[in-house]
Amino acid sequence: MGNPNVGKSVVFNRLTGVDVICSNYPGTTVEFTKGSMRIKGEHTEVIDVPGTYTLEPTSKAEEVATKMLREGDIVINVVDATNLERSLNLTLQLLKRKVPMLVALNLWDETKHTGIEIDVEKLEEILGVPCVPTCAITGEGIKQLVERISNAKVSAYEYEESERWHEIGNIIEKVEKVTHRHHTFLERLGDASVAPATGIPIALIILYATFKIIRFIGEGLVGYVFEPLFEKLWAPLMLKLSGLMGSQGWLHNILIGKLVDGEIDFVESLGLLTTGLFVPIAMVLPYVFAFYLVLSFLEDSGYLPRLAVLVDTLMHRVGLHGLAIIPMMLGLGCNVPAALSTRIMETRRERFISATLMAIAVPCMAQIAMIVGLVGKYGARGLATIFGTLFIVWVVLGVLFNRFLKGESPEIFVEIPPYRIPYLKGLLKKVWIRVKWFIKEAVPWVLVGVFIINVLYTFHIIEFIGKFTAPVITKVLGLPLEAVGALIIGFLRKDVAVGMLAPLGLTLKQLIIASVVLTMYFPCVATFTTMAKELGFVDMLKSAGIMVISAIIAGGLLNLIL
Amino acid sequence: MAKRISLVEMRVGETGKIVEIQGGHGMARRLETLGIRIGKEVKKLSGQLMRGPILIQAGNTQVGIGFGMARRVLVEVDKNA
Repeated sequence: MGNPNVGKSVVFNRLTGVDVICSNYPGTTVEFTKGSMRIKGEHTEVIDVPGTYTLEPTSKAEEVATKMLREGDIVINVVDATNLERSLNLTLQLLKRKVPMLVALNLWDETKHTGIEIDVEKLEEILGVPCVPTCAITGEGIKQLVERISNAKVSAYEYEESERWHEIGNIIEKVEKVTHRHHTFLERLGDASVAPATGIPIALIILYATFKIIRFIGEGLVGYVFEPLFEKLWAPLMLKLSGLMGSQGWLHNILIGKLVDGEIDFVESLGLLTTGLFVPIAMVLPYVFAFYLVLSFLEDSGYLPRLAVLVDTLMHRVGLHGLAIIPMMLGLGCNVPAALSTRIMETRRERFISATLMAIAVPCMAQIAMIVGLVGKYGARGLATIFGTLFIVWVVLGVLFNRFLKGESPEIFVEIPPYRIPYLKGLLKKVWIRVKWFIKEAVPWVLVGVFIINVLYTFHIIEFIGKFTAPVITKVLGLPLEAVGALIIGFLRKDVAVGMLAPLGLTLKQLIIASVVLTMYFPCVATFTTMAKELGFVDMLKSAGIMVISAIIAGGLLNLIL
Repeated sequence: MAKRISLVEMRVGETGKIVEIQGGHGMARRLETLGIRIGKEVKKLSGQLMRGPILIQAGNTQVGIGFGMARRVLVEVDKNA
């Protein structure tokens, strides 16, 4: 346990080898993770918990942490050695609980260049529990930490609750020496990126660069690696297989799909081995990889909390505060972790607003990649209309929520961590965790999606439902009846759903409307279940109702205007 | 006697000692978790436009505080700073 952003998850990774995501902003971990390690040959369970400043929780993530305290036999209290005073506040509260514990003085390497000296032996003597300096990111001190876990003990340290800060002051005086030092370059940059005059231009530059880099890496990988791979190697192989099966029959249709002019069209053929593999691997994965590379860099550098401070005023307009930028950013990668991350918000109202706005107006990278692939051909205007519309929806709905939902939005109150140069190995590992997660979670669903499409077509189910929903689909949204198939599949995987629009021969206007509606009308099944767990069933129904209605309104308006 | 002003009125770059936190016990406790409490020396690093959050340095920690909260934290500014 420990304060937010002191590196608990990094210590956990080191102890157990289990990979959990670590970043440089408070509130990366919102859920507990269990792992195991061996201590002197004995199998021991280790739990990583969200950070908390106090044992009196103020957000849902902190509640998780305080609850977990009751489950542990030994507490490893990870503290930020550069912020001893604040960390000790929690340490002293923990000591009072009379659980055996030991203290890991993490970020030890940073104390050196921040001019802080800590007398570890003395601290150990005062607190009455083992204290070990560590630098978890490089692994220094972890071995010593493990060795001393069995020395963890209940402290005899006593103090008056009202005198806690006084006590902390006394301890600090005895163990810590601070020498003056000059401002480093990173600190100056830190100041510049939150001052309004320089911060807003810097934010815009970062946004622009982010966009450029993702496009560059994504397009590069698609154009030079994956497309040639599929076209030159996989397509001939599949054609041969197709020939072997006589170019027709139900098995052929499911595995290879329909041939377009005697050739395989990886987007339109809709077979498991063609479209089913091409969409997730060659169209979506490159962008997912590029996005997570950039996002992970931003996370580890410590920029996100600064961005939160910059956008705070805007976020208050939609009933949230600056920190809500974090679910929105994560949502661009995948809506599932984004829905989980709404736990960093303090109130139920904020969690409802942020989760709903995110699910309605923030398309995930898989969907963005498909939209770019499909609509990008017609130039930037189509894309600008789609994402512009989604942004307007985000603002309008947010303002309405703020107006009509009862309750106030609390003020932002966030620790701004120092800028850190991302540790390359850690960064790459994090990108790998996320990409692996995408492959494991997304690819099977894409295959299921493609399979169901075939079933739907074979049994003419799409036409049947099409007739049912005709008034809304054709009259209000101006889409062909077949588009209902995409809406059905969109519940499973939105990227496949967007892909399904390709063979329908839609006009640009119809593509724009369909893309917007597909983003908004409902979350995919994985997001839906996560949101239902986070918000509760009733709020999820409300949220879903808002989604369907606003999707129809936004799509209908676009149909009228364009 | 040094004048009492809120974090909002403080100028960027000024240092001061917190002398009063107006507001409920809840707010004081929340501020306290990040080491912001009466008697603490803080330095204002920046303030956002349009009643945006205030950024202060307390010890080795930088904290962003919403405008409404910052308005209720009173400090005595160092004259010689």
